[in-house]
Amino acid sequence: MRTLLLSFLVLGLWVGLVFGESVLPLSAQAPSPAEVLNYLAEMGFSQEFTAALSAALLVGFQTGRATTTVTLLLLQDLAKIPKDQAEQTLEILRYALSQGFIVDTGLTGSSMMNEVRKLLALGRSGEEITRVLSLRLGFLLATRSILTRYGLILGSTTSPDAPVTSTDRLVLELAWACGDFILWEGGGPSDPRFLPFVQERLNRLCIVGVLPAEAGKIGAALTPEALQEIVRLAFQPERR
Amino acid sequence: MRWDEVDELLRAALTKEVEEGAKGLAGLEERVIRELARRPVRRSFWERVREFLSRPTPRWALVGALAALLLGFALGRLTAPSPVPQWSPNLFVIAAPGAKSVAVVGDFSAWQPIPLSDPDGDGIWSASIPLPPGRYEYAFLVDGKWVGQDPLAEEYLRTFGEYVSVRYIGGGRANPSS
Repeated sequence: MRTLLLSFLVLGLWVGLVFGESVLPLSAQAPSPAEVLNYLAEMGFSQEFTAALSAALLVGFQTGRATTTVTLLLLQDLAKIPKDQAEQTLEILRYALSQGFIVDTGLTGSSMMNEVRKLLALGRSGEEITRVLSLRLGFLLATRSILTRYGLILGSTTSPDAPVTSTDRLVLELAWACGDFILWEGGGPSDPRFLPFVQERLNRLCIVGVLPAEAGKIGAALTPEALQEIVRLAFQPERR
Repeated sequence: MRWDEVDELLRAALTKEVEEGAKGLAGLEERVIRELARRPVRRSFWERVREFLSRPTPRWALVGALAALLLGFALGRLTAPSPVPQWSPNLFVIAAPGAKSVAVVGDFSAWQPIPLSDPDGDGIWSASIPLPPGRYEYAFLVDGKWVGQDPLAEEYLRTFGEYVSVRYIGGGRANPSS
């Protein structure tokens, strides 16, 4: 009788995990963290830099701030550009990870790693990529800082060891929307289209389920001044 | 021999036969009852289920097992790390008559080319790609040339002078699907 009950409990757990809410892998052939780190070790960077980046990436893989699939593809791409530019790019990513930012959402949206892959696909130079990536990092830092200052999120820092939360994703998406408007839409911080652009982006991401419904409310609470402040901080690192 | 004599002989013979057979009939009724009790009664599935449930011990065992199953399922759902994304097929299609190769690149492929096909040779190239909900930037590569403006896109971005299309997948939004 006890065995029967225990069997049903185990069966229930299994059914719950499999058909309830489990995470689907990004790719059936996702490389292991060891494969990615081995590839990085063979790229010829200094031991110190390789060790620091490896540690950051490993934590990123474990917490969901980076994926092995996109990271390996990125490293393979960066192996084709001058080493100093590749190192600069990777240093920005390492710093972003150390600050608890998501640098890679896998194959499900935009992020720093996918941005680099896109710019490389567009044939942009390593210098241009580093510049864009620095600005993206600036937007991430500024967005978290301003959201905290306006009381829209709690905590101005995120531990890189903590699992990814919906707040981390909100910071990423809001920073991305601000960056897209300023970098690619040709808009300025005082542009009247800026706030509706950002709010529309957040609302759409809520509708498709990338962000929770609360993100829409935070978007609605944003003001043109808050967005202007994000842009100012993004371009003036010394003020962050 | 007369007919009344024949009758008498027959009666005597029958009486003798019955008396001899009577020994074998002793306990026949009990034997029949025993035999009937031994044979399984053909009952319907639901009758058997009802009978099973009416027994006190198995009924509680079943209730306990079902409760354990439900508890396990609930625990499984609660302890799972994140929701299952609903993957839906998304049709990427472009008219490129005379093209030798057409591919789509985007966030969903980490900007690696995914080839499109044109099996009937009418110049309409397509691929159906299952994607979880999200916002995706993408572009087509027609014979290696960047084509960033998909008429089916919801938005466009300009990156270093090149267009990139944007699609939102999921949330009941109407997406071109195969």
